[in-house]
Amino acid sequence: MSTTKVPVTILTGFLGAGKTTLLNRILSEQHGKRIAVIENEYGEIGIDQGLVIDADEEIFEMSNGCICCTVRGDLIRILGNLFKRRDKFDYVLVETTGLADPGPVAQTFFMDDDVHEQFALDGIVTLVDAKHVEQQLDHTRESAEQIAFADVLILNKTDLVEPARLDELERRVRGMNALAHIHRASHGEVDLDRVVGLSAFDLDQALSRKPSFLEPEYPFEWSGVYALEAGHYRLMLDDGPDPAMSLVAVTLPSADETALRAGAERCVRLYAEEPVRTQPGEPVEPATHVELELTEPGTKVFPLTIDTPGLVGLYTEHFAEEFNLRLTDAEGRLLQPVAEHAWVAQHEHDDTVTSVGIEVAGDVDANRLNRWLSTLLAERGIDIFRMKGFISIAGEAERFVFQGVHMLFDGRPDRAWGDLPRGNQLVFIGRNLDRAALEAGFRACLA
Amino acid sequence: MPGLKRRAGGGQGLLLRRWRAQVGDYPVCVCWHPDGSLLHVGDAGGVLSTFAAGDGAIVQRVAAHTGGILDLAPSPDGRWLASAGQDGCVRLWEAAATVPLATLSAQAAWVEHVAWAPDGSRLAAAAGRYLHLWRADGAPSACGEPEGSTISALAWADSTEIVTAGYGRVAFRDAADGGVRRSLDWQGSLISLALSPNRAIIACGSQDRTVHFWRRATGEDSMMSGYPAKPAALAFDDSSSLLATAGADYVTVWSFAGGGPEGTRPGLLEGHGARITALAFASGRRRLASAAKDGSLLVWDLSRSGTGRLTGAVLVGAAIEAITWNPQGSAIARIDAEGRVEVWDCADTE
Repeated sequence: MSTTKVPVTILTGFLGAGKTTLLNRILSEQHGKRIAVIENEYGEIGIDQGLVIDADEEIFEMSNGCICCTVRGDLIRILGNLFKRRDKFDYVLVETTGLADPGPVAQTFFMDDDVHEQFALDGIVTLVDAKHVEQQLDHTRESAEQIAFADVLILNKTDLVEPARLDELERRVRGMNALAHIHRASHGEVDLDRVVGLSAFDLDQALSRKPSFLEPEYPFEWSGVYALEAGHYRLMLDDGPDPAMSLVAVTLPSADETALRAGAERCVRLYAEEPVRTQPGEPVEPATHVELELTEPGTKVFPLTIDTPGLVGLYTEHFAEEFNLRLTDAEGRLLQPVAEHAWVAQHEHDDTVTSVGIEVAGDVDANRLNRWLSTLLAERGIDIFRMKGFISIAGEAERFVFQGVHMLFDGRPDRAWGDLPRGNQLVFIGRNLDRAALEAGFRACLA
Repeated sequence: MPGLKRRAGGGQGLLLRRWRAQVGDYPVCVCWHPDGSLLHVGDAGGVLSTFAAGDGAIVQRVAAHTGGILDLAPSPDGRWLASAGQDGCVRLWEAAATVPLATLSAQAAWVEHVAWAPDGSRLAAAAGRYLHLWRADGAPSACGEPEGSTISALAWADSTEIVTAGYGRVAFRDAADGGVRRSLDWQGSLISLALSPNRAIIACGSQDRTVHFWRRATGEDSMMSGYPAKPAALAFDDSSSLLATAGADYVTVWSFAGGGPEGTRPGLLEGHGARITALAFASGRRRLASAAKDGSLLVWDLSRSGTGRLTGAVLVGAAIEAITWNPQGSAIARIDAEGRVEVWDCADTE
């Protein structure tokens, strides 16, 4: 009876975010896959190839008024018919309009028996118009929901936005959705395998490969990489929000993401050491946790001496722009970083949609956990868009993995803990989440 | 299995396979010619296949629609066959013709349902939110106000009135102008519809795993819940006293005899190994055929209270897409997910 389910990707994003361009790219690429597209925006731009089916977004609410039972009726009908021609399609893409709530689309894959048997939701990809998203976030609920639901966030049209604003934007969306993979793109140019074949809703796939899926919370917010010759440099800071700021300067083998992350790991350890308090005029010690004292008004200058030419990464406690941090050479010429990175930090956002990550050691009591989760989902399920995690249940040799969409919960034992340290990681993405209450609630489940 | 004797052709009890044929794509819909001499099958590849009912010989095979065929309806006099498809068209075919007599455009992506008035005077089709009506000669007759969402089912009440179901309501429309005469509202998604032959009861299966029905005379409604799956198939017997419903791997039969079904217990017909996909009563009797996702086809003789005795079974095959009795009620056709078309004779009980 059991046959391979056809994977489905939901592609969401506001009008103008570049969905059609991305769709066309996916369809025209030589991937050897036969793809059907279910789209909602009539006549926006023609799709070049493949089977394209127009759909009305028919939201079916149930008589019981339960929001998590709300499904997309048009999808049920269309997918039911597509399935009958399944030999002709390897993949289905569902495009939603900019104003759509992704909840009912995702729920359709769990709530409808036929759809659930025949199709597997592979992932939700949200295209973000980097230039306009901030306006959209301020004026609509849907924009935040689309970001919150995403497994993959593509910050598109990056060519139209200053790098510093992009970093700020990435930080903002990361604060809303801590689980999504974020990619930057211009003109929808994203590798296809970052969009399809995600298995984001497959418990076997999504969590089992990684021992940890929470982004570590770094003690620094920003890093800039500078290509420097041997010589003397000046690190300059203007007045900012704090009287002091920590910083670590380390050499890096390259300016790519991997090197930046490896550097970050080193810096985490250095940050754990007592800082060397450094007054303006005193040199910045390399590979050392320094605390720049900034109480003096006006521009503060800290000399930096480089012995061997190469790449130097500055990992700073706050964002460079908060203190107008800049680096100049001995002649006072301003140097631009060759790469920058914004780290996920405990940053204040005023978005009502946020992610709450909980990482707690120890084992939990299965009954207490069950009661807590049932109550939580019954009371707050409407506001919890996505959740994911793994749990160490007392007395069980296997890790328990789970994921959920609104009130729909899917969880099961996955693999034996073996040598791995037992522990719990949970992420909730939702509206008006109370971090302290969630964490306290979970801690009360500890055995 | 006690009480059942294995017969030739893999069937058990009263069922004997008359023939088997194959179509090239997933078969979606099946219907008999009104005289029982031909069997028509529409598939997801858009091909309309016509078989001789006696031996399964292929009579005609024609590419009827671009994209899949979604529904078929023979005119009551047997002169025409209407096919509806994903290309937004309804086509009228004369027996064994290779070109359609007429192509009626519904101006929408998919035409999902098509049905003739009982007197053959009009043809109705549901395409998205619109109900289209044509005269028997193919001249458009009416297209009333659209429904609020896609029409999921339609049935003729009599030759002047047609009933549609969808998200939020059942609507009765005038066959002459398409206007809504009456609306029975329900906050939920109605996915299937059965109108009792005496036209007194309208029953609908709902996405939320309930069956909702209305008594037409009074407008009173009732809801039957407790289904583990959505009841996508419903069937009334000719006496209008039994309603068979899917929505589980057993059949639930409600009896409208006496004051029922309110306050009564339904008959439960168990024997399938997977969800029921299709239900059909043989004309003129309380004989029900049920088919399921595991390929099983069972035939039951029912009591007035809705309990049943299994009288025939075919337990092998792929997921059954549809079943239909021949007009005489003596044979049943089934189509399955692997493209098989079969006709099974159903002998009479002594």
